[in-house]
Amino acid sequence: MAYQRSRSSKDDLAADLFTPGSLAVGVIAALALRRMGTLGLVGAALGGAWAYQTWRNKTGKPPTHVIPRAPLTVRRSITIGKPRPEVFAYWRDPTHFPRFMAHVEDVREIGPDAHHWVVRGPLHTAMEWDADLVDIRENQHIGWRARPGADIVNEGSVTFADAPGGRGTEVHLEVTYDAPGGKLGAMVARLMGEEPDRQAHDDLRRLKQILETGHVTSSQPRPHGSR
Amino acid sequence: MRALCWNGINDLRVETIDDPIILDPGDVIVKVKLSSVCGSDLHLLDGYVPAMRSGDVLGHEFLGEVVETGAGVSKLTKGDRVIVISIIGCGHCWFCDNQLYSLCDNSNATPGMEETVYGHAGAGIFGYSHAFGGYAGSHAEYIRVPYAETNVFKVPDGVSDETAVFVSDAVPTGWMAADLADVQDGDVVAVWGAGGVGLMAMTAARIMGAERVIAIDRFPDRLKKAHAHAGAEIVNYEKVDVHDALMDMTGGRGPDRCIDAVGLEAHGTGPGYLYDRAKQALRLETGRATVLRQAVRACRKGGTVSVIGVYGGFVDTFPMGALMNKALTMRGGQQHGQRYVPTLFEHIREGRLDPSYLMTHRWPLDRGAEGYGMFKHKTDDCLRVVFDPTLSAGPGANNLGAGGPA
Repeated sequence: MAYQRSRSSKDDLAADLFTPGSLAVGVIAALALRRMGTLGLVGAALGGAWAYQTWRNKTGKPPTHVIPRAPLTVRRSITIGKPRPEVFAYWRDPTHFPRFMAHVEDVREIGPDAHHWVVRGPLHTAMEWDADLVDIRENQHIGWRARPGADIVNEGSVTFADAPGGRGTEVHLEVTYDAPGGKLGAMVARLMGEEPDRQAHDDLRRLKQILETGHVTSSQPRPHGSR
Repeated sequence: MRALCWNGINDLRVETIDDPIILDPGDVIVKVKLSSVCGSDLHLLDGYVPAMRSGDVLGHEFLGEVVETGAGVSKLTKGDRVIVISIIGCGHCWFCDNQLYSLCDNSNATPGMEETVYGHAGAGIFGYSHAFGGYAGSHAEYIRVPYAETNVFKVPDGVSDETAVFVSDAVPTGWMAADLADVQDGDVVAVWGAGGVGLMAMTAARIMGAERVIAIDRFPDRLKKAHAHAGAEIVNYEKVDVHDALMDMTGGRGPDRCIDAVGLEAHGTGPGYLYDRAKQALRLETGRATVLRQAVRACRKGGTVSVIGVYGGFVDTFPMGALMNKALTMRGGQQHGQRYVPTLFEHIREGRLDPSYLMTHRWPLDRGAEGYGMFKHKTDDCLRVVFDPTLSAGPGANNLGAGGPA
């Protein structure tokens, strides 16, 4: 089978960031950064984005995109040295997610294969939604999709395959979501060091650590001298 | 507790900081008795390894006593006299299963920077910056050791502390250099750098069957030790042209195995060295390739170049044409000490290997900054300063001098 993959989300994001509109935003952002620091900018941008989204959700008015939006797709893979059924079983129960997904605070079962998610965004904002597990194929594939009205429109899937040579299980994760505040939000997230790609990768690494060693590897807190 | 902290480039201070605590069930806390400086620390001190943060505790080569064990630890108990391998293996991933512990997938708690620069992250290392896990180091009274059953080894009876401490890093690193070089009976092995690791590589090469060992350095006391302890022939690169000397000494063949035990802060002579210094100062190049270039050019056709000296980023003008056309094999890596420890203690007990002479100075922790200064500038015939947190500062501190322990 030939390897096929469209441009990565990174490329998309990079391309998006260089549209004329976003360049303007970038210039404003750069100026704002110099004047009021990163936090001020992030606060203003996210505050505006969420105020708008909350208003939109509450009023049920059709979205008129004041801030440019683009769905963001993140794909990451990792190999975990455990048999496929074991890795699948762990992922089959989304209440495990907060253990390895850094930004997921809580996942609670609300019905058969349905869960309520609480996710922490930048600046301790909380985003919530209900999601259904979809397209479940035993030991092979699990999908999920947020129900309408979600703070972040998102869906994702994870595919499990045997790694060659008895090396365990390849886990392929794909998540698509509307970044908060669209491109501006994604850019702001990058400024905050919370790049979605990186997040997904770090989450998968923690999952691997849990399944292989029994816990997430930690070096904090640790003793240190004056900073 | 007292600990030696990095506070900026070439700025070390002893501070009173919190004691470490058990974080995971597989952890132990070790009370440090001996903790050695290491050449690789100099790259941290000089700012060549990014991701150091003010207040980080240095040190990764140490011996001590287990004083606390996590709930999941059954093979170690309080009071055990132990050494800990500097590079942390989780003991569970594919790499650890294959005894490639320094490539461990799980022990680096902060893998982001390595993944970005190298494509993948290696193992966590004690006291070696936030690119390598952000673990606190061993120049302290106590240290937390994760995945203890993989990384902690009891010291056999009859092996002294002064000998065993180097089985933490210098001995397995030197051993691995010779192992990677694939030393065969009758080989001529050239080792660049006669510091602790280089000296151990020379002895390891001998044990593995090398007929002749050549030491290349510029410090007469180090070359003298290479001759005395590893039976090496010596080349002082400030006095002679290294390439010409190696060709003379090998009948024009070149050494069969070349070991780089120097790394990114290599010194040298001539225009190539000045070029590297200038580019490195401007941050256009992160490593000086002086040793690599010499090794590749001198190495016997079809021979092996083993790189155990530390490199961080990029080097310039690497002689790729020579590597390819001479069909050289080049290998490198951080040490997989866990794999070698039983063998090393066996050689030590049977008298074939004695690293204790590396400890030229045993000092209290409070003289940490001074100790690193001496080690860096190689004054007082210093090979290794080893800190003993149980010693008090001031007069009475035990300076072992150039002769090593009696």
